[in-house]
Parts: sequence; C-alpha cells; structure tokens
Amino acid sequence: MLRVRVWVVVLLCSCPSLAWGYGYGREDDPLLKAFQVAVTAAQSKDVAGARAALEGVRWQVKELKQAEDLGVDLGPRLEAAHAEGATSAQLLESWANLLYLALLQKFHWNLQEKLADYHTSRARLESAVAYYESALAGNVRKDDLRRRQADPKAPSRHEDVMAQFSAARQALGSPGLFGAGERDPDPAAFRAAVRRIAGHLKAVFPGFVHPGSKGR
Amino acid sequence: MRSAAAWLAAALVLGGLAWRVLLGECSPGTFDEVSFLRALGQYDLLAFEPHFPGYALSVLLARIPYALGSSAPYAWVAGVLGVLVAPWVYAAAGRGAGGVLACAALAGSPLAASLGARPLADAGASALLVGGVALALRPRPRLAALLLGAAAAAKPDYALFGSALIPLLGPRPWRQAAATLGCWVAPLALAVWAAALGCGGWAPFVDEATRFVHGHLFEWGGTAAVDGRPRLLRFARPLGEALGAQGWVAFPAVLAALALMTRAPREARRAVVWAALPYVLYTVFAQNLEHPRHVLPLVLIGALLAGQGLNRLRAPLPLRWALLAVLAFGALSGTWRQAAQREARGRPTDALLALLEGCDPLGTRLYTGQQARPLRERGPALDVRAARDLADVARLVAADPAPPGVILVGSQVAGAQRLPLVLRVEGLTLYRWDPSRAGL
Repeated sequence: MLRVRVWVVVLLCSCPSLAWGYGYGREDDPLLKAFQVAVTAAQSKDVAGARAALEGVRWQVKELKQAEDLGVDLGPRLEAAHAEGATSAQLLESWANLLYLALLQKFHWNLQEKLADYHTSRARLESAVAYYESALAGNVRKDDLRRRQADPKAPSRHEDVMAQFSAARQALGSPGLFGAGERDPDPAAFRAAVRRIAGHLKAVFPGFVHPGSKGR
Repeated sequence: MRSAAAWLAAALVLGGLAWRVLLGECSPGTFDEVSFLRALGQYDLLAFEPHFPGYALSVLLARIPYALGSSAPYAWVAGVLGVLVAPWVYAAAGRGAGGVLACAALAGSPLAASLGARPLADAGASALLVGGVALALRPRPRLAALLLGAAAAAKPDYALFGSALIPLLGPRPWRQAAATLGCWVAPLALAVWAAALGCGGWAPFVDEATRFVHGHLFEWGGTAAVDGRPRLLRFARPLGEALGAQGWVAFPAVLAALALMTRAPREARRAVVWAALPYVLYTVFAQNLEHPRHVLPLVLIGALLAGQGLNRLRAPLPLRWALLAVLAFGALSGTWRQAAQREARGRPTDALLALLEGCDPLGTRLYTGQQARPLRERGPALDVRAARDLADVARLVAADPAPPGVILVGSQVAGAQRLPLVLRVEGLTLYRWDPSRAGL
C-alpha cells in the first residue's frame, strides 16, 4: 500500500503543468463581452452576429432610456446600424456609442449616490475605465495623433483622461484597514474629474448620441 | 566565543535591515507588487489591492512607515521584524556558530534579502514564521502560537504552518492547549475579518474566496507554468536560487547546509517536519512555482535546523567556524550577485518601460503577460494590455474598433516566439504582431 502511495506521489509530481495567469474580472462584464463579439462580427461583416450580441444587452439600452438614468434612447441608432445595408463603420460607431453611454451611466450613479458605498463606486469606476479602454481609447489616441500632426505641442486627451480616472479613483476615498488609512469620499473632486473625461469624449466623438442630444 | 557569536549575529541582522531599507524598491516591478503598493492607499481586495486573501497584518504594519513618509514601507517591515525575531532564532539554532548561521540566512540569504527589499509580504511574514517555529522548538507554546498566527495573518498560506503546534498541544492539559490554540486563532480571525471588510462584506468575501480558490486550483495556482517541466524539477529550481546556488561558489554551501540539517537533534527534525510538511505539499501541488518566493519560509526553517546541526558537528571549533564562513559566503555571494545584476540591468519591467516610453506612445501597443499590470501602473497612458497566448492577442485585436499601427508582443505571451523578432537585449525580448505568423 505504501509503495502505491509513493508511486502516486511521484506520478503527480511528474505531471507537466498547464499555462495560465492572473486575471481581472473584465472578461465577466456582459456588456464588454457583447461589445467584443459585435466588433469581431462587424470586422467580418457579420451583421447577424452583431445583432445577436445586441439582443444580449437590450437591458442596457432600456436602462439608459429611463428618465432617472441618463434618459437617452440609443435604440433607433442601434437599429439603424444593424439594419440591412448599414456599413461596418456605422455598426462599430453605434456600439462604441453604447459603451460611451454606459460609461457616463457609471459616473451618473456614482454622483447620484454621492459615492456613499466605496465598493459599489469603485466597481462602477473600474467598469468605466474598462469601457473607455476597450471601446474609446483607440480613437482618442488617433485623435491625439491627428492633432499632434497639426500642432506637435498639442496636449494628449488620452493622457488627461487616464489622469482624471486616477483622480476619480482617489476621490472615492478609502475604507481603511481597522481604521488605518481611512479617507472620506470627495464627490466634488469626483465630479470635476468625470466632467473632464466626459468633455474630452464629447470633443472626440461629436457624432455620438449624448445625454441631452436627440438620437439621429 | 558565544558572546562574539551573538554580536556577529546581531551585526548580520542589523546589516540585513540596512540592506532592505537602502535597496527597498519604491516602484512595482511585478503584478503582485502593484497590489501591495496600492493597498497602502486602499485596502480593496476586489480590485487586487492587495490580492485575496488579504495579507492584512502585512498591509497594516506597512502603513506605519508609509504614514511616516517611507517610500519602501514593506522593506522596513521585513527588516524590523527580522531584527525582532532574531534573538529567538539565534537561541533556537543553538546559539554560537549555529545561531549565526540561522541569523545569516534570515538577514542575508539571497531570497530573504531580495524579497525583503520588494513591496511584498513574504519577507516580513517569513520572519514572523521562523520566529514562531523557533519558539515552538524551545518550546514556548503560547508565544509560538501567537507568532505563527501573526505570520498567517501577514501571509495567509502560512496558516499551514499551524501544524507546528500539534506536537505542543497533545501532551498539555486541555485549558493550556485551548489557550495556545486561541493565541494562534486570534490574529488569523482578525485577518479574515479584515479580508471581509476589504471585500465590502461577507457575501462578496465568499464570492471572491470561491473565485480565488477556483483560480488558484485551476487557472494560475498549481497549474501555472509556461513550460512542461515536471513539478518536482520546478520546485527544486527556486530552492537552489534561494540558497544562493547561482555559481560554483555557492553549490558546495548548499550541499553542506542540507547535510547539516540531517545532523540536527531528532526531536528538532521531527518538529520541523510537523511544521513544514503541509506547506511543502501545498507548495509542490497547489502553489505557483514560477514564484521562488514561496520557498522562503522553508529556507529559513531549514537554516534553523542546519544551525543546530552545525553546533552538534563533531569537529574542532575552528573547523565549525570555517564551515560557517563557507556557508555564509555561499549565501551572501548569491545576494551580492543579485544586487549587482539589479544595479546593472534593472528589472525587466524597468527596461520594458524605458523602451515603451521611447516609442510613439500614441501609436504603439504592447501585449504581455503579468508584466502588463506594473507597466500600466507606472505608465497609465501607455497602451499595454495583458494576453495569455497568441490566440488571446488575435481575439483582442479583432475585437478592437481602432487598433494602433504598431502592435508588439512580449515574450511572456505564450507562443510569441513564432512572431517576427523586433528586439532582443538582456532579459527583454519583443516580437511584432503578425497574424499570418501566429499559426492560428
């Protein structure tokens, strides 16, 4: 019996291992997942695939439409972008618009609740960062490059957006650890940071449906 | 002679403190270092600050020097805890040359010295742990239990060393045994409570714990490796590094240390096996062997045994001291070599960051493995993203509405070597993304 156990241990020790690594929870975000499926489908002109992804996130479109939320109806824009004859560019833009509004929604609810619950506020902010990086950052960088070609000293919007995300993170405060390092949230600083982010995005994406604008 | 040995041990330990503080890393070089540095400001386990299961005591202690303005607070914690436990370690190793050997390992073995300078919990927690094991050997059960519990609160997988208390609890009246157990449980319970606070409540704590345990078992823990070498070999490699076996000078020292451990008294060897066996099994089967740091507590406890063995050696006193000198030289040569390499080349993350900052940051993206996190932390505006393998890169690029003109892939991404090589310098290899060469 002892010999069998020794062999089992030797065999287990000799098993080659698999490759993997640490990971954040970004891949679990349903909106990001749907966005990635839709963009991949759009790149290969698979409108049906993109539409299927859209059906999975209808809840988000409905949420955004509610008056106490952003009060923005992106439905018509999305429908038009997924209709027969729509271009890939339209499709991509409509999805980027959806993630842009979802990002603003996270800011909106954090401000509405005055950053009352640290962990909820933090989760929303990290989702907003993920939406920005996945859907918007590429075009913000390209806009920076265009402006730098005209004026080499033009400040980078992308760098400022990232700096404001960092400032917003600081503004959430800290719950501390048994009282050590506790900091209260600062809604005013959070508001200032996210207004700057929203301002940059509005400037780079003038064609987007924004809160207060009418969908085209 | 004993007095001179005690002074020598004290000098080594104080030298270790100075080493850690003077060479303390202020910026993150690895994934986990980001976690521990961020935890100084925000204790948020859901955001990996630090990562689950919390390391509450390490973070709490590091917040003291951090609040006083230190830029390397974890190095201070590791150094000061090393100084505090050193008298117990010296005594448990049998004082004299053996005590000096155990203190030299605590202060200056390559792994202890390099980890002590990094923003991680390992060195500080290991100091508590070896202090606890030293007290268990003497035996002073309650204080040993308190230190072992504190070590577990500082680095939760060290809870496995709680088995060191089993031989101490058995022969005692139940009241004394319960008190000893209470001394071990109390700091651990506080750490669990802190972890729940760090997750925002018990329900998210349970969710995160489930996710973490699943990840540790099936994603990044015991199954993490880029190559297919047998696990025992992968376990042995960091053990060699830990003892300073980085050249011909250190190799005999490693063998001599292992031989000395077998010369320790039988009851000490038995106690150490009780203490270390669960952790060894966990490390070999379930821990991420890519990180040599998991071996550190075994090195320090092994040095305790080697110290006892050295004192029991039937050899003239000068010969024992000569052997000690060889062992210490072997270990310290590894430490010195690591520091020299660090000074000459910097960390891989430093070199990669410098390279990326030299590229056009608006038109260049890098896909890499765990290095992505420290790079993003240090250059938030850089376009650095994490990917496991080339299929992952292909998926992420296809799902990007506006990918940049230049996409680089680091050697941490599995299969990257199939791509066209862009740059290879010491410790740094970069490839250019080319889907036609990815073999997908």
